[in-house]
This record gives sequence, structure tokens and C-alpha cells, in this order.
Amino acid sequence: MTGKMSPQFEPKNIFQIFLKKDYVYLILFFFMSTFFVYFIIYPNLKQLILAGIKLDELKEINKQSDLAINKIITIQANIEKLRNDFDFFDRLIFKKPAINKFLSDVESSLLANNLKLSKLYINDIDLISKNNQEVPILITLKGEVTGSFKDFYRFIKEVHQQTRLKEFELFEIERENESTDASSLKIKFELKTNYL
Amino acid sequence: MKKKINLIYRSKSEFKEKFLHFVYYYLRYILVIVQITVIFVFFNKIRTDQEIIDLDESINQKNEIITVSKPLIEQFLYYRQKMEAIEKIDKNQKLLEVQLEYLLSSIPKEIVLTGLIYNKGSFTVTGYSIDPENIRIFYEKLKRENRFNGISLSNLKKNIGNYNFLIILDDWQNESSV
Repeated sequence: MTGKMSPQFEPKNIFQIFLKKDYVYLILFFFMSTFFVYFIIYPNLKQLILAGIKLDELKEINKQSDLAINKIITIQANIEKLRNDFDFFDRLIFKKPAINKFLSDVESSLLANNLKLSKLYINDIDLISKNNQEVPILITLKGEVTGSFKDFYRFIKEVHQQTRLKEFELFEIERENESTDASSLKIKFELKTNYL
Repeated sequence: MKKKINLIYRSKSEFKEKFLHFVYYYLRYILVIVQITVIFVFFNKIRTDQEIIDLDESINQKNEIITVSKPLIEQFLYYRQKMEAIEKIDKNQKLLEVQLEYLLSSIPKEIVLTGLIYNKGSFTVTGYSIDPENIRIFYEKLKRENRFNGISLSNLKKNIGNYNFLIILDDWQNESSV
């Protein structure tokens, strides 16, 4: 074949294509190059790049999964450590409202500290909606008693020492008039407990 | 004058000749580059695909472990929530006791309390004294010891034979001692 070609067309290397005055080769070269680049090299490289991206994503997910599993192992170890205390935690914050227990705790403490109960009521408890176990649900008990400040102070301390946790939100101690005896003060209080 | 005559045979199908020339001399470079690229992609794709399959399998196994451990995680979150609530309530209980103890120990004997209101960490103390100096001593003691950030004395009134006062205390600042 080469014998038929003119010696002036025989190139030494590929770069001579740019030196020729005849642009047909150059045009063909770019045309063919473009064809191969667009229809063969580009789809192949695209596939490889996409696979690489997917691989990177999977590596990240795998890393996150490893972290999650490590956390699970830590959680499991912590749960095993605390398992014996779970019952105690459930007694500190009940799983259910257990209002009777709450009332009886408070009433017994009031009686034990010589506080005369005049009113005790609970309102605004949602017993229908299910506990979503995200936040503790509050139960607020409002009460009115008469007694001395020392007795009420002891009552506060005793309530704080009870197993089921309770917290005083508000209390108002009033002497009705100057002549009122210090042992018969009018005391209003709001005590809250919660369940989860 | 000499006339140059090109005696070399010129094909009538010049384009075909040029095309063949192109194919033999230039297209091979393109083909070689394409081949090298395709082979490179082929081997890399095999390797990448194998890694993807391995990772997929590994992730699926780990997800299974995570799914199985879900009740455990829920239990943990539940008790963590409970522990946080316990810690908060315990802290508030101790704080109230400390505040009350401090307040009662600070009130001079000469002052008679007529009311004490506690509302979410703040106290309102009302009372009277025959001598206003006692009220001043009480107020200055509270200011000096600075256990409450907000201390305000108001409603200091002279009544029949005594002086009434109202002190509002809030923002306990020594929580770290609880």
C-alpha cells in the first residue's frame, strides 16, 4: 500500500499531521478522534467515575455503620452496667401516672408533719394520649394547708426524700394578719412529679 | 523556460487514497489510545465493582446488626432520658433546700416574716420590723453575700409601730455548690 503513496505524504510521526498543508488529514484526525472520544472513551470513563463515586459513598456509609456499631457496643456495655439500676430508675420516675400513689405519698407526709390539709387537687392530666417516651410528662398537684413554717420546711424535706421524685414548683406562705399564730399559717403549694 | 511535469501517477479516487493513507498512518494512534483507555477502564471497573459488592455486603450485614439492636438503643435512650430528668429534679430539690436554709439563716430574729413566696427559683419575702435598721442589716447582708444575683428591696413602708418591707430574690448564682 505504501508503495502507492507519494513519499511526501509519508510522515515520520503523528505530529507531522499538523505541519501538512493538506488539511484533509487534520480534519479527519479530529473528526475520528472526536468520534472515539465521544462514543467510546467518554462513556467508559463516565462509568468508571460513577463507579468511583459510588464506591466513595459506600465507603462513607460503611464508616458510619462502623461508628454506629461501635456505639451499639458501648451502649450494650453501659446497659449491662446499669441493668440492675433500671428498677430503681423506674421507681424514681414511674412508667405510668400512678396518681393514687402520688397523692398518698403527699398526704402521708402532710400528716406526718402536722400540716392540716384543706385542699388537694390535680388538674390538666392527659391520660389518653400515649406517652411517646421522649419527654417526661408532668403531673402537678396543688394543695392548701395550714401549719407552721418549720412543719412545712420538714414536709419539703420529707417529700424530697421520697423515692418517687417530686419537685416544688411554687409555694406561698402567708400570715393572714399580724395576730395570727405562727403555727397556723396559710400555705399554698404546687408540687410536680412526672412519668415517662 | 523549463516546465516542471509531475510524472507520478495520481489516482482518480484521491479521497479514497487519502483516507487509506490516514487509516494506515494516523488512525492507528487513535485506536491504540482508545484501546489503552478501554482496557484501563475495564480492569479498573472490575476492581471497583468487586469492592462495591464487598462493601454492599458488609453494609447490609452491619445494617442487620443495627436493626436487631434497635430495641436495645430504644431502651438506652429511654433510660438516658429518665436519668437526665432524675438528675435535673435532684439538682432542683437540693437547690431549693440550700436556698431555704440560706434564707432562713440570714433573717435576723428582730424581723417577723408575714409571707414567703417561692416561684420557680425566685423568692419574695415580706415581713416587718420595729426598727428599720434590722431591715437594712438583712438587706445589706444579702447584698454582701451575693448568693442571689437579683436582690431588690421595695415597699418599705412605715406602719403603726413597725416598718413593712418586701424583698425579691432571684437568680441564685451559687448553683455549683449544690
